Amino acid sequence: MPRSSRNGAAAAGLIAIALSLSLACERGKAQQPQPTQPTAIALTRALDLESNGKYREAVAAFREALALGPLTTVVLGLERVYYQLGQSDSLLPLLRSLLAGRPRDPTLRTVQLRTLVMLHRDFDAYGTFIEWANASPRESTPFREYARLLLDQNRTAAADSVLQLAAKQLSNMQELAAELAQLRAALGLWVPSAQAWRDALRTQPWLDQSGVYALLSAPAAKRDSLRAVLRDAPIELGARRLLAGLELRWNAPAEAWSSLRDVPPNDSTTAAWVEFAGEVEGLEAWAIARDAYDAALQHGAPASVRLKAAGAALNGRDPASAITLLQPYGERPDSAVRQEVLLLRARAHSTLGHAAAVRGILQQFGDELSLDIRDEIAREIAWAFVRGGQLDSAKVAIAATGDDPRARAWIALYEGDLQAARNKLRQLGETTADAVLAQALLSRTRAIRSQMAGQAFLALAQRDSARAVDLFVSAVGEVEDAAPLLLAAAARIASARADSSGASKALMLWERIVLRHASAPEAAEADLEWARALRRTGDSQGAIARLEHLLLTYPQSALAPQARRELDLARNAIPRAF
Amino acid sequence: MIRVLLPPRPFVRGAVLAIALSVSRVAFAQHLLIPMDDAQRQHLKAYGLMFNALKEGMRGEWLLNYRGGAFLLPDALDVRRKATIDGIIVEPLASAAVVALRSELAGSNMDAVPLEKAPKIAVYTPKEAPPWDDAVTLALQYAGIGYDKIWDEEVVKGELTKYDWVHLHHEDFTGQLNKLYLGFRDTPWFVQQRDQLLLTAKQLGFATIPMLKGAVAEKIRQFVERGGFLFAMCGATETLGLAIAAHQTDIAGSFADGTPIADDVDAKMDWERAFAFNRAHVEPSPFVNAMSDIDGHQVNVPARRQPLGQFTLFAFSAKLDPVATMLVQDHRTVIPDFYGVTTSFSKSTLKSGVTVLAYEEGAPWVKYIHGDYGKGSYTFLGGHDPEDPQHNIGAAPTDLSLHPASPGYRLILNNVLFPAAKKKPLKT
Repeated sequence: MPRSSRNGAAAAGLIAIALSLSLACERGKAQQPQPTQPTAIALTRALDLESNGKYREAVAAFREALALGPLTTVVLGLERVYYQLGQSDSLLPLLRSLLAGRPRDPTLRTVQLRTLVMLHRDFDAYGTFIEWANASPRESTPFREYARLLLDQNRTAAADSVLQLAAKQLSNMQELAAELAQLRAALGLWVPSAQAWRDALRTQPWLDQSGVYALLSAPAAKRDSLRAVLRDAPIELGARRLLAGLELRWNAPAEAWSSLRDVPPNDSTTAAWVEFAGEVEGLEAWAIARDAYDAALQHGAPASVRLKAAGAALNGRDPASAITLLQPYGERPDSAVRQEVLLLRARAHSTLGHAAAVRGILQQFGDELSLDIRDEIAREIAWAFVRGGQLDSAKVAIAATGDDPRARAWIALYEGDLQAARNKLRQLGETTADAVLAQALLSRTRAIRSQMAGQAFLALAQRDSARAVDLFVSAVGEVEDAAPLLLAAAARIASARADSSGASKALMLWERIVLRHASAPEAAEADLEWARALRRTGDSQGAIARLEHLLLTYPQSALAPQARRELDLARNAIPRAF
Repeated sequence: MIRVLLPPRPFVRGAVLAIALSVSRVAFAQHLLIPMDDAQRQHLKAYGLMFNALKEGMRGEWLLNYRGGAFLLPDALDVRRKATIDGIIVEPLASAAVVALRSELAGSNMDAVPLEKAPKIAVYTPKEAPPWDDAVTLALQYAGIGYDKIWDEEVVKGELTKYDWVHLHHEDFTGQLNKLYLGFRDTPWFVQQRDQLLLTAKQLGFATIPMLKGAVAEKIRQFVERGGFLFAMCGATETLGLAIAAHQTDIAGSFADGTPIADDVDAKMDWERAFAFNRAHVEPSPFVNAMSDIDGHQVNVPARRQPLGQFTLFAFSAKLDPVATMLVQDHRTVIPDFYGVTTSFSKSTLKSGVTVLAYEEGAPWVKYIHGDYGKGSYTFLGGHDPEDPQHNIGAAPTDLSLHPASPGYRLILNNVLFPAAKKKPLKT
């Protein structure tokens, strides 16, 4: 069922179409006389009047310009202002007279066709199309423009008829491949549409985003068939870019890269890989971005890509790869990139706990670095010791490089000195996930020391999540007044782990909170997460029981709206998101 | 969810809340009022609460024109429990408050209608159809109201008699599949739908889809004539009327049954048998995506399509005309319009005696109508989905948890509940 158009949106669409048309009709434009100075003045005045909303005056000015000079811009301008005045039919007599002298002019013909379709004069539009096709035998433009207009109106069967006529009259349908692809997608013929997009992209590679848009809504059951068409031999960059675009929008960045990485490398492929890496960086799929940058580097991508690759590796918590990627810069990187390379190296070594390597960078290049970079690398020495578990050395490193309140606060916590950490962390105002958790714990407990809690946070800093889970649970014995908070922290970390043991451990912890700490602030969250875990295993009835328990026990909880939505989903009372 | 007035200080407020909640489990009032004005946050779920209470043997009252069409139920732990789970606002009322409430109802254009028994509901829809493409099944599913699905086979075999209330949605009872042939003839879903219908027709002894649907329409007519409640939306309203009136002529194009539409078809229509419509002009062209001139908006005919406006619910006398009043209970009286295959009903095609429940100011069409037929009654609401005004084929389904207070969906649920009302003798 068609949508009614809103004036503003329609006008914007009209202008967009008009502009794209003026680009598409280069041949027509090339035949136009170049604007003379009086014409340019008249045209500028008309465009100014139009942009100021003085449409009636703009009509007169455009007509004045028409008498003097370039046809395309003026006719498109008249089309826009007549539309704004609701007088699009006034354009038709003018177009007829202009077409008498230029019966094959694609701009004039398209504007005429568009106006007739917009005015719902369908029979006149069809007559105009036939007249144009007869005047321009063997040309695909009349078929393309009319089919596009019909597709825009969801008149797929009519568009199909036009394209079938084109197939009979034209020797080569390649120029209409994109329209054919769009038509098939509109008809829900997803596999033929994918095939047609593949054909179209061979000669019009810039249409890959149109292809993505057209095929995006293919039902999940059809996606494998589309993949098969676009992956089929021979491997073509256009088809693979289209598939990668689809996979990204289907939330499958790894599959997207897998479709693109097999393309035989050349300059276009390398550029596509770099572009793809940038796109997945936006999705924070760092490991995939690193791989795509790396692949481009191995086939002639510029050196600047190497820094991006190392940055992506570091963000993806893969410091070893970052170090390998930075190796070609040598011991003494070129001065243009030296600071960036050394900072990335220092961060990578620090993340690995290689304090000596970070210190070596500082000793070797300290004098050549800017003050900011030097300080940052110096701080990384202390953090390298922390991540290596050498807290005393970290303290010495801090003392050697001047005060670092952040490192001191965290070291206090890692040593289990909750009292000192409480004061120091509060002053930092840090909002990372670890800092928020630490402050929540410190404000919840009256305990002064907890070796286990400190070790748990240190394990988090060392990215050892499995150990962190166990230590947080063990810390419950030392910090009993914050037991539900520690258990909830352990459960969240465990559920974030990809393995099934993490999920089952999380489920056990949520259950423990609900059953043993029912009055704790974490209990509602635990109930909700318990229900979600049950839903993930397909136990809808179990999930419903948990959610009802949550809503009855904690009706004022801020999680109640989320719980009701989960309950509606578990009861199949609302559709799942598509 | 129980509404409690809270003191300002957080600690005291928490304590009072805890006490109120624990007391609410043991200290019952005599009644629970379910407000349906802006104090309510889950209007649609409230219908489900009421319906299921009736289903479990409770009796309640519908307080017409009082606080948006509130409900009154005896206080019970289970009602409170379900209200809390679904976030439905309920207000405990002591006997004295109920007496005061009845006094207020007596002195104004309000009334209390007893609700006694939950009607048995059937929705005419293919067995495998998901609930998300039909506004009524969406609403029933969201409100937690149970229903049976029935399709051509059950209707032709006479199973409608098992039900009190039947809903029809966008089915084309002329058998022309809403003339979607024009735009979707080659799409897989259309081909599959057409083939399945043709197979069903053959299995039930009909040569064509129009013949099958004509027989189904006749069974539905008989269901209402014998006392059933019929609610229809979208294209079912218009095409049911056309199919019933065309029992002696062919109104289906050759693309649907292989034979052309009858000559002078308008003169051959028997409108006496139809529910709400009269002397409509049948659209004979297979290339014009409209069935007749009953629909005022003609959304699928570009040259005729009318823009959407808003419609206004009529105010009826609660004491003199309780049925119409029940059907328009809402917390809004002006509601944004929404398209469907049939969006509205041209005034010129309505039979005299049809009650107009909602209209668009100054427009030659109305939106929502009701009438008696034989021993039963019908209610027609134009449009497809009150929360998806444009509704394109393939659009994402409506998620009613995002519209829990939808005034348009309330009209649908009014229809589900009104057959539960104990019939009072009409005073006029």
